[in-house]
Amino acid sequence: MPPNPVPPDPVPDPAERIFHDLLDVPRDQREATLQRRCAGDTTLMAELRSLLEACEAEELFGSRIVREARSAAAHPGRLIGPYCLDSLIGRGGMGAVYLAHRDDGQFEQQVAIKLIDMPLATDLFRERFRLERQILAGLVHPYIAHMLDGGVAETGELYLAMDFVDGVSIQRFCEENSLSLRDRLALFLKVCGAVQFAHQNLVIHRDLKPDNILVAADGTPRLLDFGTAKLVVPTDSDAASGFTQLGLQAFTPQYASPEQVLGDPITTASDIYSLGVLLYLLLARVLPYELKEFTTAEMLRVICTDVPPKPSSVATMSHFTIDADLDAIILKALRKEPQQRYLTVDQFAADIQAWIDGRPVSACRGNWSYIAGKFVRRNKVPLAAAALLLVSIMAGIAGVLWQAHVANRERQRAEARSQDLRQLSNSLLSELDQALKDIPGSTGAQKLLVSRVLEHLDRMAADAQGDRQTQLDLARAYTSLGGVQGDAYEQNAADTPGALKSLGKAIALAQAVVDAHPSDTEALRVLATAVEDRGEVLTTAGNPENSIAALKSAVQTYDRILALPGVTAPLLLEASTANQVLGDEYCEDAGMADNAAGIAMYRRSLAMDERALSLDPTYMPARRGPGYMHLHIGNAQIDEDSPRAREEFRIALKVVEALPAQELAKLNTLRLHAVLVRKIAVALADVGDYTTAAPLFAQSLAIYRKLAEADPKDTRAFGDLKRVLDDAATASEAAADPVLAAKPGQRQQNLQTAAAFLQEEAATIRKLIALQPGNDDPAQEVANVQVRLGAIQYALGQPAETEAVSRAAIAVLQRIAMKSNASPRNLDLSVSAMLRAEPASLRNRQQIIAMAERGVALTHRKRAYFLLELAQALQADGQPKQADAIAREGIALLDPPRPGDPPTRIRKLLLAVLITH
Amino acid sequence: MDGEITVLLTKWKDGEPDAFDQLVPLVYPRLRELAASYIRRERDPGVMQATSLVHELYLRLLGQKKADWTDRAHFYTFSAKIMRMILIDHARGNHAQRRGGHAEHVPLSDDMAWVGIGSVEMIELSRALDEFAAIDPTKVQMVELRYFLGCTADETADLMHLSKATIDRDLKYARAWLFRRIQPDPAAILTRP
Repeated sequence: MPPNPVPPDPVPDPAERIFHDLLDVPRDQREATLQRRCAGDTTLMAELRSLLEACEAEELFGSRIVREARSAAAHPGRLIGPYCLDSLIGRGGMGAVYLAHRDDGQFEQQVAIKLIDMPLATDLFRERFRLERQILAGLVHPYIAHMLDGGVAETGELYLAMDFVDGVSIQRFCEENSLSLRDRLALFLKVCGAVQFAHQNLVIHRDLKPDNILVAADGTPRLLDFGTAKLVVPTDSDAASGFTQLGLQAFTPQYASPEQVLGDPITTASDIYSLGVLLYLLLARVLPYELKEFTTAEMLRVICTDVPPKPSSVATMSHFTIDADLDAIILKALRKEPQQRYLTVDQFAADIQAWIDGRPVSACRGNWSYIAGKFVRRNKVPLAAAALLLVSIMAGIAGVLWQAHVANRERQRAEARSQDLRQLSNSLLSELDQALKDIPGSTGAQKLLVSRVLEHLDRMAADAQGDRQTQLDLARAYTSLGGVQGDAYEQNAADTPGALKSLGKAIALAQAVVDAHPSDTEALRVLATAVEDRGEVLTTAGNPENSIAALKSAVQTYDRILALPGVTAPLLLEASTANQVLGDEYCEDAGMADNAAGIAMYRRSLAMDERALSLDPTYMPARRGPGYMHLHIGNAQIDEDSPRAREEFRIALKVVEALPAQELAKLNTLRLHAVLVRKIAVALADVGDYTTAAPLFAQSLAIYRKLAEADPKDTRAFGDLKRVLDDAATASEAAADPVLAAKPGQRQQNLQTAAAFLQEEAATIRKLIALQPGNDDPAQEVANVQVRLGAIQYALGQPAETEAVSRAAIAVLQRIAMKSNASPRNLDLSVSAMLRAEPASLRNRQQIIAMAERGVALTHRKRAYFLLELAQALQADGQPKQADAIAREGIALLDPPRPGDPPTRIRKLLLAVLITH
Repeated sequence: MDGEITVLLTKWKDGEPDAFDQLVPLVYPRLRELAASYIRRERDPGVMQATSLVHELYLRLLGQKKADWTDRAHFYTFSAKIMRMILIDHARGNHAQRRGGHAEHVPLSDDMAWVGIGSVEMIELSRALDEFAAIDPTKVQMVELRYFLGCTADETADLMHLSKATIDRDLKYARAWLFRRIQPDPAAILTRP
């Protein structure tokens, strides 16, 4: 068999040439052309007729066979996993959907099977598919077609099994049943509930449209197609690693948001937009936009720039009308900028519900700004993060990392990879985690996330040796991961050993770079951050010595950086924070309880803030910093030397008051201001100046009440409110205490004031318990307040109903204080209340002494306050000698008062133990 | 051994008919492995895969990192012929079992769906191709590359120094010609519902 000779330009024989020409002319002219071209040659004509017929038959037969082969591949009875296919329901771009049933003969469950036909699916894709399936399987909601199962069929196709929904599209359902406006809204609200549920479970639908929302005959809507669209929309890294660019095909243009069209990150806001389009359609019966050509240019113009007309202006519905409020609601959901829309589906739904109930809707109230913030210096923005979260889950964080890994190996090295990694370490992971915290019940997702990330980091770390940038990027990523692992937001969810392991890896990576480049500021900074985080994790692990050692090492690393050129204000603030964290750790009651060392660190921190300010007088964190630092110093002094503490608070207050007006209006600054006013009041009350303290308490209280009212879900605001009420009550209690106050005539009035504060405090704590169930601390606080209230009512002569309450409260106090992990604060809350319990028969004196002794031991006999409680307990138990010794030990801890300083509360109470002796 | 293949390929290219017969036993086993995975998948395996496997095989057989383009074209043409032989051997082996059974029809290619892998038509197609080769060997080569080896129209055009339009047009004619040889009564198909 010789090789076929290959002529450069084959010349077809005459029959073939005519054959091709005939195929080019329209069918009805073929016969005439054939007659003309053959010019009476009947053999040629017969040959051509036969060839044309064969050609037509070949195509028809071929396509018929292809069709048959396709349906044969899904012929009834074919098994896909445990499912048996019954019939084809429909075919889409990604594959076909079949009606099927479970093949175990146990019960007849009808399911829909979606076969995803991707012959070239890579392992990476399959891995992602698996991860996402896991998340989707958890999506159980009455209005969501449940994803039952999924996997790889024997023939290699990916399949998803979901509930089979027997219904019609939501639009058709509304039209066929001529639903009223209210019924349409009610149905839409159900859909919103399902979408919100998905968002809470970290899933964005991304292709919400009538065809994906089927309504059963009984009016129950079911959302379909969760997660299938998300399987194909690529991320930037997809493109980088060679994934096909399917993004623009994966959504339905009429329902797509501007960010989808632009290829920007898709967030929950995109679903809110699509819901807006849906509601527009259901009420106005037309779509907000008309797309004619479906070109990219047209989509960009129409979706991203054209403002849709008010639904009421285009509505074609005769049996109801759309009012201005509904117009406003729909248009708010359709804003071009995601952040201008409703922040959550719940808010969208709440506005519709408000309209149904005849209440004012928020969409009409114009813009309101969302004030968010935290008391900590390291601010995070949960909302932006929540949005980011959903994008990244969707992309599959593991996918991002995998692709970084793939890029690492196969592509030009540095660029794509380190960008992905940097994105991960700098924002993604921490913000993702923050966002997960904001979504109740997402612990499972967090754990999954952490284990995936860890797996992939480890894989990459194996490749990173010697590459400075990759090592640093990985160190950052490990540090972020360690933060997530160590920072539990649900009780017992923290993985301290895991966090220490990750941070250990981060430190080793960064240390290697530092060893090779001792003056590498960036590397030193990465190292310092990882070491500092390790110190913080060790704190929660109850390991103060190791924690202090780590934090000291972080502080020293910062000192090294600050000695190098290129010091900036932000860098100084970072170093200042490290010093402050070490200071906090020194001051820890159950840790070192070394306030002098702590204050020394705070002073270093203060000096760094000042240096930052000299570098950049407009750098706001450096202007605020000294306010926080003087507050910290004052806090370290308040129990034992309130006059000095008060001076620090006053300096801090001056710092705050000197801030620009814009800064003063910020929530964090407002809080700092209120804290300082409260602390000054406490310091005044401590030396018996109740008259000056009272209006300051009132001022602080007014600020906190306002903050708590502004956001009824803000636990921090309620926590602050609780604290100021407790301080004010304590001051009034002290004013009524014969040992502390000189005017017994006002005793009754002070007791009544204290009782009023305590009652409000109890109510506030109960709100906190409702917001954060499962946390023991507030329960103990309520018990503490109840016992104190009981004592006051007893003193005021109204004991009847209080005794039972106090008894129950004491049981709570005992239970919590006897726990093996009780903190000094737990012990203080129990002992201080139980010492005061009335009638005195409620006091179990032996138990109180035991608790007070534990408090003294836990604080290493370094806290005068705990020694005072023990002295009082011993005194009450009739052990004056022992009480005297302990009180003297306490007095010895106090700094000698400066000339002119009035005696402090603790000194008076300790002396009282001595005097009565 | 690899050097021997290169020599034989060159001889075959230069028109020495014996070279082909000597080449077959050297290459056939490896190509059969390849074909087996092709057959096992029982569906269009995706063009990329088939050709890239052939290419890999080619590089391995020639024991060189970079292949000369002309050599590559010859190797592909050669591989396509071998693949045809393998698929026909497979169909012959299958013949007895398949006849009358409800074997699944797996098209040779979507464009030539009326020929199933391992079917009787496969054997008939091969006979028709031998007849056709006597009239138009170029088109037979096209059919082999495109449908037996699984090259895309672009790859086929590339390997044969022709335009893609020519490939498409010529293959249409070839399919009609071959179909007519195998299905003596095309009109019956057109009138069948």
